[in-house]
Amino acid sequence: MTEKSRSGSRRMTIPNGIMLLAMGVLVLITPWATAIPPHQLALDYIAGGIMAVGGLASIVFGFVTGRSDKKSEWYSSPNEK
Amino acid sequence: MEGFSPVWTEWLMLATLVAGMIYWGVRMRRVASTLEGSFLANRRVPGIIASFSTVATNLNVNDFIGGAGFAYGMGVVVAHGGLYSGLALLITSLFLMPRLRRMNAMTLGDWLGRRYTPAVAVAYSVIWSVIWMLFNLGLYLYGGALVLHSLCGWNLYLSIIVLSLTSVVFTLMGGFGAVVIADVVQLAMMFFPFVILAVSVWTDIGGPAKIAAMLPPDKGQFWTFHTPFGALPVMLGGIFLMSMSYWSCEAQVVQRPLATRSEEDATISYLGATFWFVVLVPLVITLPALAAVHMFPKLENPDFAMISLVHKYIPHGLLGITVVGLMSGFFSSANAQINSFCTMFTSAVYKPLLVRNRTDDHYLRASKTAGVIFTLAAIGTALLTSTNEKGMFLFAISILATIMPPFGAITMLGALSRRVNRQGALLGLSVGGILAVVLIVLDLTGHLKNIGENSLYFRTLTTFVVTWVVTYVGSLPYAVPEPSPERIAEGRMTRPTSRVIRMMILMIAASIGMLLFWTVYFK
Repeated sequence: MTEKSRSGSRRMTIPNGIMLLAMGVLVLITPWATAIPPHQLALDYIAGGIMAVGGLASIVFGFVTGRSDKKSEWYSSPNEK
Repeated sequence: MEGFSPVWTEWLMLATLVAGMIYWGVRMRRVASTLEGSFLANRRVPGIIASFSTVATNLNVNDFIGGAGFAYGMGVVVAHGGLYSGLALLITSLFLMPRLRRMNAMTLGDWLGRRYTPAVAVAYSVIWSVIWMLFNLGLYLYGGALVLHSLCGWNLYLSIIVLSLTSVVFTLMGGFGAVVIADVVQLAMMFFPFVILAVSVWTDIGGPAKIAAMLPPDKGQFWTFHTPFGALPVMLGGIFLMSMSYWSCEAQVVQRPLATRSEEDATISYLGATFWFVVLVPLVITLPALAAVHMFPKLENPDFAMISLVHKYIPHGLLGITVVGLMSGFFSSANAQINSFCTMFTSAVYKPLLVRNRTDDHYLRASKTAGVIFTLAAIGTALLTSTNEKGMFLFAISILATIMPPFGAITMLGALSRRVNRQGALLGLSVGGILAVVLIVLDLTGHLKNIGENSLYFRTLTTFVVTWVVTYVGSLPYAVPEPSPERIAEGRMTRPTSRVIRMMILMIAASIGMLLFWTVYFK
């Protein structure tokens, strides 16, 4: 398997997971960037936590299933297969 | 409306969204190097991914901001829309989408041309691309710009230009595949902050019963006979037929099932969307908007209802995600609209009517040029939309009520009855089209005031029914033509698979649950 075909078999969940993880982390660190009323702090922590965990899960899922599930390759060009 | 100053983490969130779009645009360039790849991702999209994309394409700023404004201005009666949307999705997913997919149609116009006559396809493609798509993209651009203006303090007109350029570059680079993939993550980001907002609003007020108790009588009754759209049966009939027309005819939506890998996937691409429209949209958009009626009773524009709630309940950090979510909604819909225009214009207008027998490369280049011109023209309609005082959602569905029902009627009749033919379709389309124009002129000149505060559902109901009857009756004098082998194959319906039946049962149960919810709390 060439490097090109390996990248072609990665699931779309990996890059999308990275986006979610990055945004989750950014939400979590926002209270350090600006003052947030104490009664609203919990909302940021809950939302950031859910997004970060969701993103991480998406990345792990992509690595675990990416190479075995050929159906997921619908978005790869024929040259990549 | 006062804006807020994003902090650096929130700017980085927006940058992450744009970076993700650039990644997928570049990544999908190879798939988009052919006509079918660019327009339909080589017809290899799984049904469930297509269903996410169907939802993401439909839901955008116009729904989160404009839909909330619609509920704020008209009251709880608009919640009927979600239920009838679900019913229409169920019917079209079972009876129309498998046929379209089986024929490997490129667009709905392509199917109409084969089912009736090329003249019907041309009428659909020209009216859709020149009138509706142009207004629709303008609405998306205005909605996206409104978010950047009201939540981030950006200049409204500069925002329209920046958003149009970003969308057109991404879409033309990555084609339909990039649009579908970006839709999946954008759907998650779109709903996430609004689910949190909805929970915050319910918790603060004390649940749906309290929200219902706070509403004034004219906005708080789900089953009132006198609605702002006329008598209840007229409104319900109009909502149902508008939903049927929308889900059977809207080009960018129909493109999703056409891009799937099988008929079952085409059905699932619509069935899967039912849950979002029947359950999530009413709970996440309509209910908070009804709460806003009590909290912010005198907003200058109903479209500010959701933005006012965001200001009140969402802190920095999550506020950045809200902007990202709304921008995701904008991009998913605008990108889909641009791609859909390129597909329809090239395959139904440019290739068969204007320049024939050229290479795929030529048509691909032509579609991209047309996409750029179309997007630039939509900036004009975005500016026009910004002058509308009654809210963007009402403006959009008012246009739909004029152009959609005639096509919806002949599309559904063509799928359900083999008796109708091209003579009937042409007659029905002509009579329905003229009637729709007459009705909107009567409406604009104030002659339909006795129907209700707004006559759009009356117009939809009348136009759809008249087109349906004229098409059927107009077909009777002419013999049913001998079906071609292609038509015979198209007509051979397969039974729904067990997966489809399971999904169907789940969706019907969800719809009944929501009907009880609205009836119990809002009577």
